[in-house]
Amino acid sequence: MIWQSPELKKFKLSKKIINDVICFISILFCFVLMGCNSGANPFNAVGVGLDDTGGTRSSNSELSQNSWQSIDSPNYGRVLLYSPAILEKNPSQLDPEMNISKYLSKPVFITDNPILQESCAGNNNTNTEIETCYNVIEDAGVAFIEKSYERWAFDVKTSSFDQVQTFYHLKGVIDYYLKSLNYLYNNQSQPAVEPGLNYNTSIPLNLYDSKAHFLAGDTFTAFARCNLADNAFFDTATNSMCLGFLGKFPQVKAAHDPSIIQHELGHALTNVMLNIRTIAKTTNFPFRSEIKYSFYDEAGSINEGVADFYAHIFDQRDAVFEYLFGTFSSGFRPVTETHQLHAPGISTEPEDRISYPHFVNYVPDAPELIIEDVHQAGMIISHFLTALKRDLMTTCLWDHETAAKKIFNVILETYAYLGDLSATGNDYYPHGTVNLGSDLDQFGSPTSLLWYSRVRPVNFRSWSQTFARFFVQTIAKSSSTACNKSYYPKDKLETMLDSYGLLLFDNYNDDGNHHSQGHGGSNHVINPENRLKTTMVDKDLLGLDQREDASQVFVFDKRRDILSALESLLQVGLTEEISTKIDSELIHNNGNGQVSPGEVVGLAFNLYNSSNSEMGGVQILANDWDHVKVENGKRKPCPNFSDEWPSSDEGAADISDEDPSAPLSGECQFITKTNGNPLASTGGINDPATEINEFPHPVCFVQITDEDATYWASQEEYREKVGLEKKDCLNEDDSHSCFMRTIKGGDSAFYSRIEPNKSWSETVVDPATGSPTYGIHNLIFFEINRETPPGTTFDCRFRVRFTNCKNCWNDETKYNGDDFLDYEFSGEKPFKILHYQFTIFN
Amino acid sequence: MKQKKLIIFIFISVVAVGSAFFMFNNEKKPALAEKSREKIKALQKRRLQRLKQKKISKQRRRKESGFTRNNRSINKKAISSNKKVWRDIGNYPHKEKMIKHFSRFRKSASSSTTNAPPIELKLGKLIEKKQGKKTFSIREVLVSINHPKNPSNFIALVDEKTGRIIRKQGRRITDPFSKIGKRLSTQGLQQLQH
Repeated sequence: MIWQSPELKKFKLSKKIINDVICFISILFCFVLMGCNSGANPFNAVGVGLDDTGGTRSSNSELSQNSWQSIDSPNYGRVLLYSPAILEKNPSQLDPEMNISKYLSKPVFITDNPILQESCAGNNNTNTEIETCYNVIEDAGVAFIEKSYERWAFDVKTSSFDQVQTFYHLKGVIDYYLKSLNYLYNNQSQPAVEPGLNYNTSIPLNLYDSKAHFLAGDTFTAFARCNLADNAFFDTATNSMCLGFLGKFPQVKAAHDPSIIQHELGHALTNVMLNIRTIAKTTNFPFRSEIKYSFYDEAGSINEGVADFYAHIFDQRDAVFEYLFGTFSSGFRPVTETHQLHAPGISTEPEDRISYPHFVNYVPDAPELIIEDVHQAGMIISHFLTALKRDLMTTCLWDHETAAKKIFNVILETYAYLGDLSATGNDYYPHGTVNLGSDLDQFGSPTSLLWYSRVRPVNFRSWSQTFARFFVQTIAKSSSTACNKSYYPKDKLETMLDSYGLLLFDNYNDDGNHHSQGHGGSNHVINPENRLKTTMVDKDLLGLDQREDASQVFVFDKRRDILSALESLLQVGLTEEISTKIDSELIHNNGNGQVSPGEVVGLAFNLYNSSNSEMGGVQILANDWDHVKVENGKRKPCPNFSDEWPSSDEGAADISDEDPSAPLSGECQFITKTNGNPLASTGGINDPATEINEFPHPVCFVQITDEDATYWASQEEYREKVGLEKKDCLNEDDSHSCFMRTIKGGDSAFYSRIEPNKSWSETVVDPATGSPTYGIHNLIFFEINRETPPGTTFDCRFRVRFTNCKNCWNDETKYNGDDFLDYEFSGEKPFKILHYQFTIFN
Repeated sequence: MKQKKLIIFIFISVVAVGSAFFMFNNEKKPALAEKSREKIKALQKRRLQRLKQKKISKQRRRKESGFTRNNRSINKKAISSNKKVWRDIGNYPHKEKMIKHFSRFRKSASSSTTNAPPIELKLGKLIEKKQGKKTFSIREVLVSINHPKNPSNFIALVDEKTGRIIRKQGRRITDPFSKIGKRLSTQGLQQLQH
């Protein structure tokens, strides 16, 4: 043994102690760092960071019951952080009868409020909090639950557990939104800062003062256990969501799959975002933008994709609804091409991605089906957003949370802009920059709502363009250093959009659509070389099927079908008014395939795509538009459009003295800038000039035969000819649609996709029958006055356009491809005209 | 020197033990991220506590085994909400007109003998919108159609003077657990030759 002096021993001992202390402190630091890291994960989720379907997500317990005794802290409870399908390593263990307690998390904070209710934070240090912002109950009319022994611990089979489970995830998503919005407001977008120094944010400066950050304070309610089999929904009218159960296995609840909660709440958040500016920038204005306006439309499809992406933000999974649909049913949806559910040939290679419009009818687990459904079409957007997020993570070296939040902020800006019924788009541009104008018309409805819902609705083009614009102004801003000390290249964004067929615009339209300033600002333009996969088609290549023996229009007039369609339209509030002159039993509907007096008919157009590329998002409009001129007090059809109809001896308005370079109000060459709204603001510095004799006119004209001529005239003129009293018109206040008029809400038809050199009815075919299956969204509905004399001939002048149309939204040769201005959508320019001529048969 | 070292050692130990206690006890205390949330909620918490002060004080008196027994006795009506207020339609002048409007075409298409589903109307705010020289009076009415298979709600915006429905809004976004929605019968398809 080597001798050591006592001093040396003491020195070594002290050194050892110091080393131990240093070691202990190091370990302590490690724990603290781990604690910080777990703090970055707001959901205390195990396995977060795994951006895929596999991985090691697992529950923290092997509990047999969810007892309050197992939870130390008051106000805590256990929840399913992920669905059992994700947490269970052995799928064969999943059973509808199983005890899901074993998948519960460690205790997590729920709320220290006495009930499942929470406030929504306002801006820092201001009195802008919404006190009762959201809450959870079992179902409509059921009382709030309270804690059990100060814990939110309930048996997993009870409704109380479902409510706690729903509340936890609800709070996670809403907190995420509120924090993102607050960051945007105070840091990124800064509406108080002049946009030249920042960017044209759509977030209004009075966001919090008006409580527009959450629907002006209207409380959101989640029904965690709705008595509703095989369904879940978000209800805009009552600002609530309902989580149902599987009809086949009623014990399997939608609330047990967090991705369903997040998806439904995604709809609610979109509703909030769409109305941010409308609430903040209007007063005494009860109108709101909605997510969709038809049983199938692209706005609704996009929103489904965005809602799927929201679920991905929170669980980082490759698919949504894996529990309810993946385990006990079919129909869960991937959010990335790498998911095994996809058909062979689909991959993350740019050429193999699910692109617009080819995949709008695609059903991953049944690719032989071709259906028009918003949930399926929305997958293009969810896949695009997930792919973009992953590319941001790679390019900018961001983690999932950072990349997802950046995209979330861009979505927020996008919806706030597109849904703005105040028609400003941001706090700096004039009224009329988006959605034409907010003035109410003589019927009490704002023009902006007509534009947003019908005339220029959200579609794959407008959404992609607006999303891309805000992306370029923030993440791809050239002065930014946030992306790996640089900025995310605009070319990469365009390439990514193109790989999904979404590079559908030439110009980012930074300057909006104002009637006089919409071409006045500087605009970003795309690099045309980035458009490799996106196909753009000329509108002239779309028309009615002209092939031999082909029908051009299908008439639905079978009583039962039409009654069912009307019931559906009325049931969901899609139509405002059906004339009292129409018998409510539809006794005149004879099902003879002809248009007869007193009927309600649905018209389906046999559209034909004569190009070599697919067309997507085809929409036929039958709303009133600017195509008449008043002469001697009578409205005459304008003949100056591409349809060259009618000829001068067939009743056309006289345009011989009009100057196309300087058209005057009231002339055919002049397009109304207010959609003929006599109550619109005019004459102000940014307002259009006052207009006279500008009338949006119904689509249908009627043929009048005089002693010496046959000509096309307005229905009012025909009414006078046949001596029908105004009170006998379909609407006595509007005799220009006295005999035949479109039903509002049924005045627009959507067709999801048409294959090259085919008609729609040859594209969307039911494989079981070989025939097309028509939905209500495919039809335009007309009421026919029972006083209409048999033999009367009508000519209806519809307008049609589609989303990937190269000349429906802009002229690539003018203003650097900048978008058409909003007012131009009152006329022909963005559309192709379709005629349908028919005679009334008794 | 030794004393100094000892003091430093004791100091570090105290700090370390304190930190460790704080860290391992972390679960029982609000996390750092929760602190800001708690600040935000402080106001609401105080208000809610005031609302149920009496009940809570009763509950506190009934403490058992260190835990507060929750006896589900909160007066739910006392809990405020910002939810839009919809009141009984009462004898609203346009009530009959509206019910007539919503009842039309409501008999089931499959059976002409089936009665129309019950329709419930509730009255909301009256909005006076001035625009130039004109004032619009618009009434919000909550319409609930209690269809047995497919109940729905929407808000009708009604011209208060005439009872005409200006707009229906606030529809339901559904996520049915099946892919294919309602389709029209192709047997009803008729073709009009040209």
